[in-house]
Amino acid sequence: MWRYILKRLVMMIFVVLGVAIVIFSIMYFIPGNPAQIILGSNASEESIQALYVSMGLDQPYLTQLGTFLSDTFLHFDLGNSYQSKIAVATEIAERFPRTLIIAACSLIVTTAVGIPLGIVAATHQGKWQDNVATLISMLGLSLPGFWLALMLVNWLSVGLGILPAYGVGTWKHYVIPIISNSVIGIANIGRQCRVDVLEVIHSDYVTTARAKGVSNHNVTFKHVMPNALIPLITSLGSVFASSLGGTVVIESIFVIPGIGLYMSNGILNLDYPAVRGGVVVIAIAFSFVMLAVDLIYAYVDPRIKAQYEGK
Amino acid sequence: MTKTATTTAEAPKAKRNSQTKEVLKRFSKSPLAMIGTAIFVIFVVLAILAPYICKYAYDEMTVDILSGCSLEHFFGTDKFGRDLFSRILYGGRYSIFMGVVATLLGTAIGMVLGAIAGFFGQVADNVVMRICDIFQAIPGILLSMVISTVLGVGVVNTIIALSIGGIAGNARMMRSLILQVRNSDYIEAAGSINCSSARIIFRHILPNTFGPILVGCTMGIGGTIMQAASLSFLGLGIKAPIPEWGALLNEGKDYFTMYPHLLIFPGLAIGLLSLATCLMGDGLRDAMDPRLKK
Repeated sequence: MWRYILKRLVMMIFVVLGVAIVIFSIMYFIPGNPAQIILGSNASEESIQALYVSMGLDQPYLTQLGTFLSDTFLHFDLGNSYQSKIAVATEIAERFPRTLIIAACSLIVTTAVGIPLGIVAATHQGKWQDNVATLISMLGLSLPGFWLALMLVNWLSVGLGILPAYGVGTWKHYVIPIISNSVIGIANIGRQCRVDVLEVIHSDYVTTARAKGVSNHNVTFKHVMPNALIPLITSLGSVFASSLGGTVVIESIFVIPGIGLYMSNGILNLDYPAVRGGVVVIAIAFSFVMLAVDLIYAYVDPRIKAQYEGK
Repeated sequence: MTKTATTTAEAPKAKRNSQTKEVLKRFSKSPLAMIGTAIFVIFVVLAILAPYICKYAYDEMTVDILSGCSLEHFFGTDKFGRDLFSRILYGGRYSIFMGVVATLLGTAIGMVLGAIAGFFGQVADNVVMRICDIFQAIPGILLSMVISTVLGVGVVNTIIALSIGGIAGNARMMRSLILQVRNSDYIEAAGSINCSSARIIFRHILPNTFGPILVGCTMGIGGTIMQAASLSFLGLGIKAPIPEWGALLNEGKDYFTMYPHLLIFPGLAIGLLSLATCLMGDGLRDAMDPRLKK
C-alpha cells in the first residue's frame, strides 16, 4: 500500500508540473500587453515598453518558462499579482478557504440530497416516486447552475429579501451559491446512485436475504446500501474536485472573493501570475482529492486494495 | 456444408441490420426519448426557419423598450426594444450549432486518442493518459476561458475552446471501453479462429465501443451548450450583438431584477434543449442495453 501511495505522489509531481507548463504555454500566446493594462490607456509608449521589459515579458519563451518553473517549484514563489502587487501565494491563502467552504458544503448538500434521491428511486422502481426522482435529476442536469443562481437571487433576495444577493460576511451569503453549485452534483449523484442500487438489488445475495425473511428495511440498509455506495465514492470525489474549480462562474455572480473569482479576474486583466498560481494550487488540491478518493475506495473495498498491492 | 457456409457468411450482415433497427424501434417506443427528440427537432427547425417565423429581425430595434410579454412580443423586449422571441430563435442557430459541433469535435479527437492508448498500450497509453491527467487537473471552464482569451471571441474560436475541454474525458472513456471490450470472450473467440488484428479492431472492437460513445455524445451536447453559455455570460466566447443564449443572459443580467423575463426565457431555452439531449441520451442507452430487451 505504501508503495502505491508513493508511486501516486511521484506521479502527482509530474501532473502538477505538466499543468504548470500547459497553463504557462497557453497564456504565453494571449494577445495583449499586461504592461499596457497595468499602466492604463494614458501611459506613454516608452513607459509601457520599460515596464514590459522589467517584467521580463520580452524574454524568449523558454527563458520565461524556466524562470516560472524554478520560481514555483524550487523556491515555492508564485510571484506577485500584476494588478494588486500582492504576493499571489498570500492572496490565494486568504481566498482559498472561501472556495473550500463552497465546495465542501456543496459536497455535503449533494450527498445528503442526491443519495436518498437515488435510493428512493431505485427501491420504488417504476412507481411514481421513481418518476418524480428522475424528473428532479433531469431538471438538475439541464438547468444551468448560474442561471438558477440568478433566479434564486431574484426570488429570495430581491423578492422576499431574506438572503443577501452578493458578497461575503455571514453564513447567509453562502446559501444561494451553495444551492446553485450543488444542483448539478445532486442530479448526477442521484442518477448514479439509482443505477448502482438497482444493480445490487437484483443480485443473488439480496434475493437470498429476502428469501431468509430479512425485513425490507434491513435488506435495504444492511445488504444493499453498503455495496451500492462504494462506487459512489469516486463520483462524490469528482463532484468535490470539479466544484473546487467550477466555482469560477458562481463566484463571479455573487462577487465572492474566492480563488475562482481571483482567476477569472486574472484572465480578464491578463494577470498571468494570478491565473498560473491559482491553476497550480487547484491542480494540487485536485490531485490530493483524487488520491484520497482512491485510498478511501481501497479502504472500504478489499478487492481494490488487493489490486493496488498486487501491482 | 454449403448451407452452413452461406449462413455464416450472411449472418453477421443480417444481424447488424436488425440490431440497428431493433435499437431504433426500442428508442421510438420510449415516450421520454421521443419527447426529447421532438423538443430537439422543434428547436432546430425553429432556429433554421427563424427568418420566416419571426416578425422582427434579431437586431431590429422597436419603440417598445423593456416591455413584458405580449401578443406583439411573445417574450418581451430588451433595453434596445429588440424582440426577445426573435433573438432566442436566432440565437438557437449559434447555441445549437456550437454545442453540436464542439461536442462532436471533442468526442472525435478524444476517441482517436483513447483508441491509440487502448490499442497500443504501454508507452502510447502512458503518454496519452498522463496528458489527460494534466488536462483534467485544470478546471474545464477555466481552460475554456483561457483558450478563448488566446483565440479571441467568435463562433469558431469558441467551438475550439469548448472542444479542447472535452477531449480528455472522451479519451479516457474510449480507452476504458476498448480495454473492456478487448478482454471479453468474443474477442478471444475471434482471435482463436484466426481473425486478423485489423478485422478484430474494425469489425469487433470499434463497433462495440460506439454505443456508449454515442450516448455520451448525445448527453454532452446539453452540457456543451451550457459551457458555451457560461463563457459568453462571463464576457468571453460570443459577444453581443450576436444573440447566442449565453450572450443574451449576459446582456440581461444588469436588468433582471426589474425585468426578469430577460433572463427567464434564454435560461429556459438552454434548459429545455439540455433536457431534450438528456432524454435522448437516456433513451438511446436504454435502447442499446440488451438487458432491458423485452
